Amino acid sequence: MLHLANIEKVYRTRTIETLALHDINIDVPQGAFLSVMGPSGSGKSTLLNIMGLLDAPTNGKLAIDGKTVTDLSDRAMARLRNDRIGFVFQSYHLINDLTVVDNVELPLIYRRMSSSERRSKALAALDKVGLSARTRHFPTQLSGGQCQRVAIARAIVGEPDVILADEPTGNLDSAMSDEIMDILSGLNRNEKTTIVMVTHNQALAEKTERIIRLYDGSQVN
Amino acid sequence: MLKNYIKIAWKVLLRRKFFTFVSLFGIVFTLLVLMVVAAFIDNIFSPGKAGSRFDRTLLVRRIELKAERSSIYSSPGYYFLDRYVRPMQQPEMVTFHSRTGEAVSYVRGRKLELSVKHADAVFWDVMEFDFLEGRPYDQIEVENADHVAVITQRTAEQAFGEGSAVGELFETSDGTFRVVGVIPQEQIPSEDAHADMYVPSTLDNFTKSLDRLYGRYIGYVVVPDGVDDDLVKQEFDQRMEQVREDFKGEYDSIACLIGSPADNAINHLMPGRTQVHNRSLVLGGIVILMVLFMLFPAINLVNINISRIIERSSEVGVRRAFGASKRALVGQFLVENIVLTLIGGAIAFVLSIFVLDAITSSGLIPFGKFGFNLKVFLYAVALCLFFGVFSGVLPAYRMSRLHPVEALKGGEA
Repeated sequence: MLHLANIEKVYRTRTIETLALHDINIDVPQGAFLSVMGPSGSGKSTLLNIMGLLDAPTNGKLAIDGKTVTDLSDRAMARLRNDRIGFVFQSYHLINDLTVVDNVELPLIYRRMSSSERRSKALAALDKVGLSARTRHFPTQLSGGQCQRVAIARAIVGEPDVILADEPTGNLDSAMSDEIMDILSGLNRNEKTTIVMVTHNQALAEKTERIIRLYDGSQVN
Repeated sequence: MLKNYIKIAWKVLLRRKFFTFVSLFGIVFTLLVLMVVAAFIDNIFSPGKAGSRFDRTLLVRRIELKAERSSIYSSPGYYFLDRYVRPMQQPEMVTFHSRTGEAVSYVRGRKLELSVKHADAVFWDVMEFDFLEGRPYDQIEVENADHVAVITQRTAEQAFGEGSAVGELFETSDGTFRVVGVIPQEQIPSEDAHADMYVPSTLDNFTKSLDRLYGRYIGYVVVPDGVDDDLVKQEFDQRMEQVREDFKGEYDSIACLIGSPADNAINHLMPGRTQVHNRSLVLGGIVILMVLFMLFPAINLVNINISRIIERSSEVGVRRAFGASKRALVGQFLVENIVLTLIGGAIAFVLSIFVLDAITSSGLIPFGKFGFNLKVFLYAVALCLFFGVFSGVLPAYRMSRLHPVEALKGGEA
């Protein structure tokens, strides 16, 4: 489904050039559950951002279902992210001004959809992550684990083909981490959602089908 | 999408109460001042009753005479108006009335100070007052120099209490007059025309003695409906040529302006008191001043908005990640700003009604009537929208340039 060929990412300032990723070649088949591991600064998040069209590679090609997407316009990329990709972040990135259900509805705002349909999809997504009772709460009124479940609900509400999770358990204790991992595994197993997860946690990574290891921006096996 | 933007804007404003308060305070204060200024300008430039003859009236209220050793800038004299302006062919009507004089009356042991105006019978046809009781004095009464008077409602109440004033004798230091009519003072369209008591111009002794080219009269020249002002002004200029010819030995130069109340108001503000100023140029200047005045709070608001957007950069990143294009985000932030400004505008609108009412009833600006009207409301709406868009565009543009990854990290554009 996702095909990365010879991906290279260089960050340039006036004086310094930093090679964040070098010659990355990855194929992510539909329905796969992959984890990306590596020490801090190895380029894991950069790789995930490129997969999610949030950042552009300096060189190389990213294709989704065989179509190159690295040269699309801002609007086309926004549409593609909205239709096909869901994100889960380590620090949740919920909007504190909005209620739980409004946060979950957010990706659907950018689609042509009635507000009632949007609301019912958001409630269904919250139900899937076991947060039906917290729809009117604000993020600041929730625990870390609950916030991450809201973030997962937001990621799945648009029924994306792939979820990109950047250290989704990084801020949680082990019990909460297991809960989140169970939700992600369930999505992969039952909904056939492709998941790419960045993690530092070896035990969690081992629960996925395949581990991609990065070191100093290069892929190691 | 727009509905969503408005909904989000509303939620954000409710949740961020301090920011909302600070922004609203700035917007309300600025708009309040601007609305009051707009009402003042409206009062100066279109004070008459809509559709009345006064709206088609040109004023002759200042004459400038220069001789070798002297210079006079004064109201025109009765003689000048009667000899050169009254015979004009183009106007529908011509009327003169004196500047106000003072008189005193003692009513039930109480001193009543009165402003008195001498006016001809045509004055009433031009003003088209809705008489509360009685009638205006007529041409015959003027020609006979009858001691008749038209007084304002306020004067009638002060002099005669709640009962009818018509037919009563009114003793003043100028003589005793029979009241023939009572008018509502609110209908007097300008300071020029305002008095507590109006009496026939033939009773004005000053007219017969000193008045020549200059004196203490004001001429009102009514332009016929559908006729261009310029035709009347051209005829007036021809008359002025005649005046210069007739007074060649006496004065080196004679200048007199004929113009609308707005032209006269502009002349009051500008140098060159009897020159015709370009009205749109002066109005343009006022508009530029107003825009400059608005710029200060708008720049402040731009600043607040930029800080707010930096504070919300994580939200920008999240929205970008979940499918918002740059354009959609600019739209969202602009709508947020416009909603905030319109709320501020609505509050300022309500407050300004009270403020204008207070100014009017305080008597701070004599003869000013600063009621709220549709035109002022439209000024206010236009100002609100300008304000909202202006203070939102730059922050929205900066926000749209935020890189999604940097935005998620809470970075700056």
